[in-house]
Amino acid sequence: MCRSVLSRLTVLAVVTAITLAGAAGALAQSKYPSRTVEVVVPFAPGGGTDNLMRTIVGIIERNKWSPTAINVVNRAGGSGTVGYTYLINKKGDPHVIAGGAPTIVSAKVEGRLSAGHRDGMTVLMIVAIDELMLSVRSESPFQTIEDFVKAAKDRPGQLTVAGTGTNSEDHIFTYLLEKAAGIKVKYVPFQSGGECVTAVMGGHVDAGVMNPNEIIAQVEAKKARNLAVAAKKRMPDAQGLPTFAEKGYEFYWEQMRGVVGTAGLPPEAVKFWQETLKKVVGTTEWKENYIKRNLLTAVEWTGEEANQYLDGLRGKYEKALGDLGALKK
Amino acid sequence: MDLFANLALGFGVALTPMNVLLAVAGVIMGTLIGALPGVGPASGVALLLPLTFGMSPTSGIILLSALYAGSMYGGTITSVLINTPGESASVVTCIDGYQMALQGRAGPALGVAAFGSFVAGTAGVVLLMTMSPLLAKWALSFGPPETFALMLLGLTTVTGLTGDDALKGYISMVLGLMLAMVGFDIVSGDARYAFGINEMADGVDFLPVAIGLFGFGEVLAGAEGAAKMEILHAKYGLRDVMLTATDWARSRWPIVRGTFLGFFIGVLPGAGPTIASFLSYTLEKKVSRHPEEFGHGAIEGVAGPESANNAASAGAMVPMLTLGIPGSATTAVMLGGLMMWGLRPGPLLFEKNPDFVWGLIASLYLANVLLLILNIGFIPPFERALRLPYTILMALIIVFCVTGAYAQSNKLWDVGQMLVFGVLGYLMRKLGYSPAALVLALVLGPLAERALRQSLIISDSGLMIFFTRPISAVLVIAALAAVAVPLVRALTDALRRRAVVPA
Amino acid sequence: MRLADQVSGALLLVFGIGFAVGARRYPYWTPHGPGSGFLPLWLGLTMAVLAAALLVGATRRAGPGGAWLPGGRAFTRLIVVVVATALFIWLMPWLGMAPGTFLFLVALLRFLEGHGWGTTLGVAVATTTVNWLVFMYWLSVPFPIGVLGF
Repeated sequence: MCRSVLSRLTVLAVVTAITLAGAAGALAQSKYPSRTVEVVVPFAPGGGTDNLMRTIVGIIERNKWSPTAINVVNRAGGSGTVGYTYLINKKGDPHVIAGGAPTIVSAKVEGRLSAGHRDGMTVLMIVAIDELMLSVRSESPFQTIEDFVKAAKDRPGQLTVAGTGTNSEDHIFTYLLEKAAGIKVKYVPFQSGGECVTAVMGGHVDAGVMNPNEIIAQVEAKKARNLAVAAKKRMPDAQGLPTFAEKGYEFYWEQMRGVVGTAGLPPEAVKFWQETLKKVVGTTEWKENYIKRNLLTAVEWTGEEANQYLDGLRGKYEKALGDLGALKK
Repeated sequence: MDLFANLALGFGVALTPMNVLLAVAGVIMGTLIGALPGVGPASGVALLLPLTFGMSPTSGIILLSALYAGSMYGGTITSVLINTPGESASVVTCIDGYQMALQGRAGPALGVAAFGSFVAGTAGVVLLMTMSPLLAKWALSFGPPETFALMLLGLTTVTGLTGDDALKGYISMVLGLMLAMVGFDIVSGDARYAFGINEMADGVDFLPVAIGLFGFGEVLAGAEGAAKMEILHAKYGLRDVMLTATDWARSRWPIVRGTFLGFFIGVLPGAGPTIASFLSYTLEKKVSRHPEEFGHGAIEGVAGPESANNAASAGAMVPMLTLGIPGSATTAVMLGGLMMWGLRPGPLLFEKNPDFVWGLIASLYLANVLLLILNIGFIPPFERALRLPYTILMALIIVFCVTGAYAQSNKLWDVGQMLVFGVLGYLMRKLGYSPAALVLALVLGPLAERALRQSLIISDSGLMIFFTRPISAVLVIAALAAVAVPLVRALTDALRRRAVVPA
Repeated sequence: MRLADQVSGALLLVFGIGFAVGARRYPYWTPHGPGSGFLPLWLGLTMAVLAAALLVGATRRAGPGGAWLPGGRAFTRLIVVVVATALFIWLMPWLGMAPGTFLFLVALLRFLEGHGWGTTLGVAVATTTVNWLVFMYWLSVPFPIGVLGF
């Protein structure tokens, strides 16, 4: 008896499943999104990209701008390559998008990703630029960037600069600074931004490469000070902080933050995301709690504009990583 | 005094009906998330974060910190009952907790874990409340040389984890260190022993290894025959869960030591609950009057580490609240939340948002009380789950291990890794190697290597950097002594024997 | 144990040497102290020495010692469990988490342990459902979706 009931139930379940699947398929042609969207974060919880995507998804969900659920999924590993490889392999699937970090360019340059921003994914929007700057703790003898450069010239290869990772944005920043100022320092790689700040604040290193949001709270409390930022012009919310270029050490370096989709995304999906992201970056919540608090520069680059920006970035990475000896000959 | 006024303010905030409700919801969800394999505190908090965006910052942090506290308790349950750690900070609890369960003493094991967690969690909040500024300074004084010295000391205690065969214990440890070498090297950027595989470049992840070595390995040992689970004859009443007078006497000091050790380790950036629990275990074995019982169901081996990991999670709040620096993955996620709620975590948080900070502190007290009640109440039903015939339980544990290995990182690769290490764990057990020593080395190894090399980059005088800085000098000398003393003792023993019986 | 120690000692010896040889692909020393090949080399060599000590010690020890792997039926059970789990994991991307769990439980409970169909299906259905509800529905863990669509 048990068996016959079960088999009947099975038949029922199969029929229902097929009907539902058929219905979903029909809907998919007319409407996007038609099922749960997976938002891939190729890094561990708590990092910059994780923060970005959870903020965006939080705003979308609160305003009910998506008819279906959105799941943020951390697929961390291989410094981002595991998550981006997943995205590249999902080619054509409109329901997978990911947080965009400079890794999509640098890992391609290093040969750790099989495809880049033009052939492996669809860049939906670059939403913010995160600046990089050099910071010291308040007890430090370096009051200005000139002090730091002078000390580095007096003691070549002795000053220590903390940053996150090797062959990373922070590492390249240090290398570009060395070239621009004609100095030599010791770069000390750390595992995370938090460890980096600790090393700077504890006085274990002479200076650190920081994103503004990593150090701003310390600066406000007068426990740390920034020496210079590697931007083209002074940051709107930190007018007192000089750029390296205006002090005569000309180099520019920054980190982009954006959203990317799979390659071959259908037009309705691209349209949905660009419109939704436009709405997101228009909210006060975004402007106040994300952009302003993290001291980011808000941008809204889409389509060809975004792709060309990334093309330019690729050139810079090729040069810098080549000089650092990170590329295989 | 200011403190009491602040605390009153905090309780005023935390004890509104809505916030109490959120704390209850948080601890229940946290306990479940902690008990579920693979889903640890960090992913639990990340998961619920978007939910809190609509709330006030205080309500949000109350929910998340209750969840955090709950998940630290919950991780113990599966470690004790089925030898499968729910999250990494309860891996060490498997060693003696599971042995206690096999002896029909799962109740007291869970009971002492709950009580120790309560004491440690509460004492941790007291320390957090009274000593934060001082502690923040202390945390900052730990640079790479100090971190290396601490890890070195941790590694030397591995002798406490080896079984009867010391040689095989050391082999297990070296094996763990070798596995720790696999993957991206943070200093050079080389992907060591990766053979061009992305997942290998990522390194050997600790939790799937632990789930495999302990959980799946145990299942294989049981699968061999009609497993005899004496646990089935245990009683399940609330009274049988209680600890005996001897249990109390034996657990008292481990709980106290675990609390302090755990808290101070937790304050340090980058160390965290997992390392605290391991160090507590080896410390307890070192000071115990009957070290031979460790590994065979010594209650100290549960009481110490479980107190340590909870105290450490309170300690990790210190750098988060006073400096705005994340001390662990979980607090990193919370910091992201703080910003979304419109707060600026940093040195000025106490001054600018007292209602938030003190509301959080008050809610941590509340969460610990709730958890004690909840967990003591949960013990009988959890124990009853073990009444299932082992032939069924075994299949369920395997599903549990597979699910957990996947859920932690969403990668099938890690599930495969779990399986491989399960078989290895079975063989190690059969041949007298020490899976625990391997796991310890795998946890401490990467931290030790990284700190060593960072120190040497910073240093102008090579290895001397470890001796010119007071904290690291003390720790390094302690580590050297930990190696040298047994060696010298063995040597003198051998000489004395030779003197008595001339060869 | 003697044979087992000899075999595991020999394997670990080879592994240690291989590891040390592999370490030579990474720089041993840099201007700032030990490079990425430093510790791997020494760990590999340490392992080789420890393993050699084990091998020699076991060889010197008298007597064959007891059997260390179970024989007969117990061994078969062991292999079945490992292979079934491996298949479960290997087929998961194609089959999906939920159907995979169900089939795995049925295979193990009915065919290895010989439980009745009632118990087997009861446990399998209950476990699969709870697993699905908790991990896929509540926690949104992205388990593989199989050909059946769930």
